[in-house]
Amino acid sequence: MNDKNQGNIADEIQLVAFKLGNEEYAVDILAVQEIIRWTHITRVPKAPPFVKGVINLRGTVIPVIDSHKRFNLPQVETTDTARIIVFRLEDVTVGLTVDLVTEVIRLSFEQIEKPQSVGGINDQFVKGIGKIADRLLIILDLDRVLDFSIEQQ
Amino acid sequence: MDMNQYLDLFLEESLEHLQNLNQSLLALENNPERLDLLDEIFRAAHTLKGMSATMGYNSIAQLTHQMENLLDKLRERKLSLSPEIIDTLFQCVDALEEMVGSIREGREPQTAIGQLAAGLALLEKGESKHALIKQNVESPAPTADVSIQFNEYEKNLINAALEKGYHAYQLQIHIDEQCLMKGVRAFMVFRNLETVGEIIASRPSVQDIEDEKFDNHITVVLVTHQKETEIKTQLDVISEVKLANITPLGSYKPSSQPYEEIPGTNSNNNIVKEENKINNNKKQRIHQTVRVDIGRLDKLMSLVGELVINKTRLEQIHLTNNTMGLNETIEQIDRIATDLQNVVQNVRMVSIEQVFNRFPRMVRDLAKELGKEVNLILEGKETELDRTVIDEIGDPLVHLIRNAIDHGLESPEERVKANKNREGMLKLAARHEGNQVVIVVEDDGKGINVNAVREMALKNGLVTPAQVENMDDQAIVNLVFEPGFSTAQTITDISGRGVGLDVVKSRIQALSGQVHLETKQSQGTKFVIKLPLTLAIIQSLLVKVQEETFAIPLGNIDETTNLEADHIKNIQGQKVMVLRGKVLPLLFIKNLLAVPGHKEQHELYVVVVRKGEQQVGLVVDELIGQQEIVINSLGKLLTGLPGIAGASILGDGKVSLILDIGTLF
Repeated sequence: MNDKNQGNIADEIQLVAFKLGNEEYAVDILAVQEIIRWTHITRVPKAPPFVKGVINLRGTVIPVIDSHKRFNLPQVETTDTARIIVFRLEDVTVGLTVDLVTEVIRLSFEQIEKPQSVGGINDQFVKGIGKIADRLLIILDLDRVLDFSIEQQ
Repeated sequence: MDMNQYLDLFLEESLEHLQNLNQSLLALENNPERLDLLDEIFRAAHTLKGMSATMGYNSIAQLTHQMENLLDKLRERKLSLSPEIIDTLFQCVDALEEMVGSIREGREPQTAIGQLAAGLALLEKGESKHALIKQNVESPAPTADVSIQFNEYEKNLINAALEKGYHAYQLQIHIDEQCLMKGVRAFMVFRNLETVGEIIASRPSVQDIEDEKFDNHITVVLVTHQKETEIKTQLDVISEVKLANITPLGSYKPSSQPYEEIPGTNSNNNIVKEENKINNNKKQRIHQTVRVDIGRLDKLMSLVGELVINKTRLEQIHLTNNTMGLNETIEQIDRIATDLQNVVQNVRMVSIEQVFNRFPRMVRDLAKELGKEVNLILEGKETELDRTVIDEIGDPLVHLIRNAIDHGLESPEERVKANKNREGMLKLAARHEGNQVVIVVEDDGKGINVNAVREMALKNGLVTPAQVENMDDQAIVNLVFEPGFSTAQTITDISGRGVGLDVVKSRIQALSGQVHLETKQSQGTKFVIKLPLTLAIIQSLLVKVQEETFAIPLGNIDETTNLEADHIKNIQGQKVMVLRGKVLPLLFIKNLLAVPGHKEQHELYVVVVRKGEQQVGLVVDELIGQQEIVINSLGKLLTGLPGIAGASILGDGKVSLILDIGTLF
């Protein structure tokens, strides 16, 4: 491994970018276990309202979070492009619904800004804002998104 | 050498030895004359010493070494057993437990053993004022030809055999000192003798013989129809084996003491080892066992679970496509899956003994601390439960036992005044009932005072005066399970902090179990816990409500019936139906769980479920049928949802929720 590569690893972060409505979001690729097609979601009564339900992920039952409800965004119709991103954090596996997965992106830390109030989404879930040319990526703080004790405002 | 690979084994075995120490000490406290127990304790301490020294845990080795010294003196009768010695030995076991505990948590054991070791040394010299020195008063010479010391069971066997006209002989057999494989010779002795009769006792024990843990003498008791000469011939054919002595035995008088001490027997002699309780008169065989990591069993279980799911999936494919030939294969797979499931489930079964075993010591300590006299009765130790249930049930039981001793049982003086035995009775019983396990914790103490419960519940705001008016005694007593309830007059270390029975109840409910309580003023209290045998796979009824499918555990269901709209009646706003003359409250799952959808149903179905004493009809749209389902948890993020016990993956790959009747309404 040469010095240049090492520099890259230290300065860069790899993100999975996706769309919710018209806004672009991104999450750290290291937390993503897989991205799966839309599947039958079983509603769980009495669960928090942002929990869409549970799915069968190859024999394991995992909860799925409705990102529109979690981030207080207007509900949209589920289309063909909708996917479920499966995250694995420590001992928790959980899915997040997204409208469209766009790409895997590299951002240097210089391109990321500290969060400030962004319209539409509670800034409590935002880790930072990534800037690429004129695009803005809202980088999610997954630990907080998956912390069910945090209610959306 | 890297010792880490042996650490698990060390921990596992240490715990066994500690458990053994505790048990033997308790037994010794009640039967101070039983030298075999001393031997047992000595052996356990000795093994621990060796193991810990090998692993480099010197403080454990040191303490056990001191214990050994003291025990040795006791065995040689140079010292007689005093309560002080017993207490000190108990303290040592506690210290050892603590040290092993630290090792398990990955720390070096740091328990201070200096004082204990010094105490042991002092006792060993007989310098405590309580410990009396017995100056070698009676030290009979070790003799190999003393008669076997029989336990009660063996005596009964001998008596029964004699009554039926059999002969009982005590045989002393010598194996040649030059013999290289004496274990094999001993085995041949046993085999040949069993062709002419039955061996009902052997010293040393069969296990020790198999392990070649004996010198060249074996003493056995044989019950037979044959003459002495016939027995001799059987032994003569084995080379290097000699029958030294054969004596007919007479019948034994029944004694009130469970174990009779025969004066003049010497503890150093192998012959008096009594650890071996012969449980049946057939030759005792040791079961071969393997220690298995529970994680591997869990994996195996989940694989079996998947197999069961796929089996149902295949059945569904067969139903829709109706392929001949597939049918046969499915039946085969069904059989294999069922067998496999049974085997794996059995492997995971552990007898409740390992939970029960910690109680005698705990009860003893508590009783001493609280100045109460307790007779602990354990029943059904051999009852088996799934490993996961075993792991979880210990704490609730500890709670109930503490409650019983602290609040339930009266002091000896009070008991005498109330015309009861000085000694309070505390019974812990386990048994199977259908596919459930019932555990009962019962005491004959003062019972729960209904009035006190009522007042306390009012005081703590658990109920309103108006509510209390309509409650019967049982309902009031059940309030003790409510969070924030405590009737203890004084808060003690042992119980009574207002957290207690509500925790017990929620823990048991988390295991899909139920607990209820019966109590009679001044006669006692009885807690009855019912648990499912296994948590992994259950029989359930699948029902449909609008577009959603739910599974109801069969264990909760009394019956199902159909319901026409005009059968539904209203009583004070509550929908009910009349089922064979009984009024049955109706609950609509659609409303309980806010199921979306507006499909009109012409005919509805009622699943009659039971929650404790209460019977309720759950109204559903459709009964799909009975199915075996694998319980999956909803994951860490979705725990404790009321009414939901978990999820299961059905044949079509969809997830369906399992209803938890205990918390549904």
